[in-house]
Amino acid sequence: MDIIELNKRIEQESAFVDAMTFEISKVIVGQKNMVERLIIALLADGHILLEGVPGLAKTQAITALAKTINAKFSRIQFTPDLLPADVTGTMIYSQREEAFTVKKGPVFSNFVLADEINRAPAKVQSALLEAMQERQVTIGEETFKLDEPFLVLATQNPLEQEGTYPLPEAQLDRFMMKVVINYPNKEEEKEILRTQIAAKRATITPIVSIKDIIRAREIVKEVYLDAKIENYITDIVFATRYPEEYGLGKLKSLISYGASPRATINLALASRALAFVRRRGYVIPEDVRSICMDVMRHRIGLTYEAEAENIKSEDIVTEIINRIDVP
Amino acid sequence: MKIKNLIIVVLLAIFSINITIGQTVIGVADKKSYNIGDRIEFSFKIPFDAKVSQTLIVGKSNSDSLELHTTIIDTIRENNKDYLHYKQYYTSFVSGTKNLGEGVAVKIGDSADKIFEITPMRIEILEYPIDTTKIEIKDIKTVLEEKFTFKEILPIIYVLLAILIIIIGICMLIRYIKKKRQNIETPEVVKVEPKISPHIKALQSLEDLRKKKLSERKLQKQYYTELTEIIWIYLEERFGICASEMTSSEILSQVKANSSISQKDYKILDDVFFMSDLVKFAKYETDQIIDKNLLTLTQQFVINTKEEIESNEPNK
Repeated sequence: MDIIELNKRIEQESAFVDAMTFEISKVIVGQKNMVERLIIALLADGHILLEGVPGLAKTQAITALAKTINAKFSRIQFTPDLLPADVTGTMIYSQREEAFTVKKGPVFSNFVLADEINRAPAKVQSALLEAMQERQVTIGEETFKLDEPFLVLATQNPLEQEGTYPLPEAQLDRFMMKVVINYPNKEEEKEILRTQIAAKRATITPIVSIKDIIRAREIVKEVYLDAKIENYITDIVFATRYPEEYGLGKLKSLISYGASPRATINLALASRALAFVRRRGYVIPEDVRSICMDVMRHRIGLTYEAEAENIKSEDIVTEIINRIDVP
Repeated sequence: MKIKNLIIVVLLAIFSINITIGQTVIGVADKKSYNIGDRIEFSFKIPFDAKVSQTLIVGKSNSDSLELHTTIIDTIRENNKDYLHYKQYYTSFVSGTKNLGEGVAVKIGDSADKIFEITPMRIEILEYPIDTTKIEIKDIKTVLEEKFTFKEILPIIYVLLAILIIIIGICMLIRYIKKKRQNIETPEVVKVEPKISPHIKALQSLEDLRKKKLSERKLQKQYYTELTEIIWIYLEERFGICASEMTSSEILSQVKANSSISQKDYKILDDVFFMSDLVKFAKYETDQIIDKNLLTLTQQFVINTKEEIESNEPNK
């Protein structure tokens, strides 16, 4: 593998990223980090969970992303009375054919927006998360493969926790990243105001095809990940499990369980995708550090002691990143 | 006349003596001999006439040897004659021969014309016979053991503690004096490590790296790893940038923010880090000319940003 050649190829192939970012920025002001994470998840073939207070354009960002790609998009509003069949599909009796026929659910799309995922009961969440993991859905006796690319973009808001069903740790682990969205700054807020009250609303035109995405995914797989970076990633993940071995003994009492091997895999995949987005054919520690928080924050269990001291998983990840030596 | 009177007085006296001298009555004791402390019963009877009163006269109720407790009087009839039966109860506390009823008399009537005197009876008061050979001889009891309470021991503990503290104090004082003497005798030599300026250390390390000839041996990855480590250490010691915990871009942003580093020096560092990242993380193969140039550039960066530190080496 020639790194110069790969870099050149990536330069060409990743051009659509800027175009996509531009299209999305027509309707989404600011939130560059969120948009970048959405593209990374798309390229790394991972699902993403967005968390933020209402009104931060989570749903709009996902809708905009889907619109930039000429792909099937469906939105499921999770409610307490939602049933698994409402997500995956069901068998319907056809009087004309005198037989049961399959009625596919909204999960059969390239982009599935699971809005307020924590409002539906566990059985519905499980149905969706199973589809996320297996990339296939079984209805009746028939199993259907889901289309490529298949990306679940779930949202949840940290407020109004009453009557919600928080995602279990095992299911949270299936999301490649959990992105926390904050309020825009003052300038961005003004820009939002202008765009929203403008006489003519901006429209998004599809600029990428599914084929482009699949090809980009193939190139992402070629991004070089050096052994030094592999060590760096495993060190970060191991530090969440055995903090005392990395001179972080004070974190031991705060962590109830560390990140899983899935975290290691996702950190490597997301780092590669980020290197691609930044037009590089190799991963540098900067990529790992940049994506680490979003990959790790939902994979670390906190103890009661940590909760009592109001310590969040973000604080632990920050502590680990600052402690582990950069290669 | 005088003689006549004297004769009359003498006659009268003799006559009166005849009148007062009465009858004697024999008193009887219940036993002849008693032990010390025994009750002694002494009784006698006097003819009784209901019309004439009788008065019991006891010369001595208590003597050194006999003590009269009570006298019980009762009437009895013997041979168609009435008597007053007197019973006296004594106790003796002194051994020896005693006269029981001595000084006891009974006066009949109001006038002292008739008196019954009681004839004393001799009795023997014996001591208790004690045979010490047959009595069990018991050992003298030992002193009872009574346990001490903590309150009783507390003062002792205080005293012991005080003694202990005093001993420790004395020991420490002796030790201190000894140490002081030793210190006076042999003054401690404080070795002062010569402080080496970060740039001297960095330049020395760069020279060592050149001598290793890693580039010539096609060990570029190791060469650039060591090169970046030298720069990290220099930046940390010279500018306080914790470079070993930062990524290249983080280091560069810190360097850029430092006003003492010129744009030209920043560019040098940017080039070195870019190439190092390429070699370290992307298997990029450089040639010896590039390697040498970057080493020279790094030396240039160190020289441009150096700061002299006053040497604290002792004067020789």
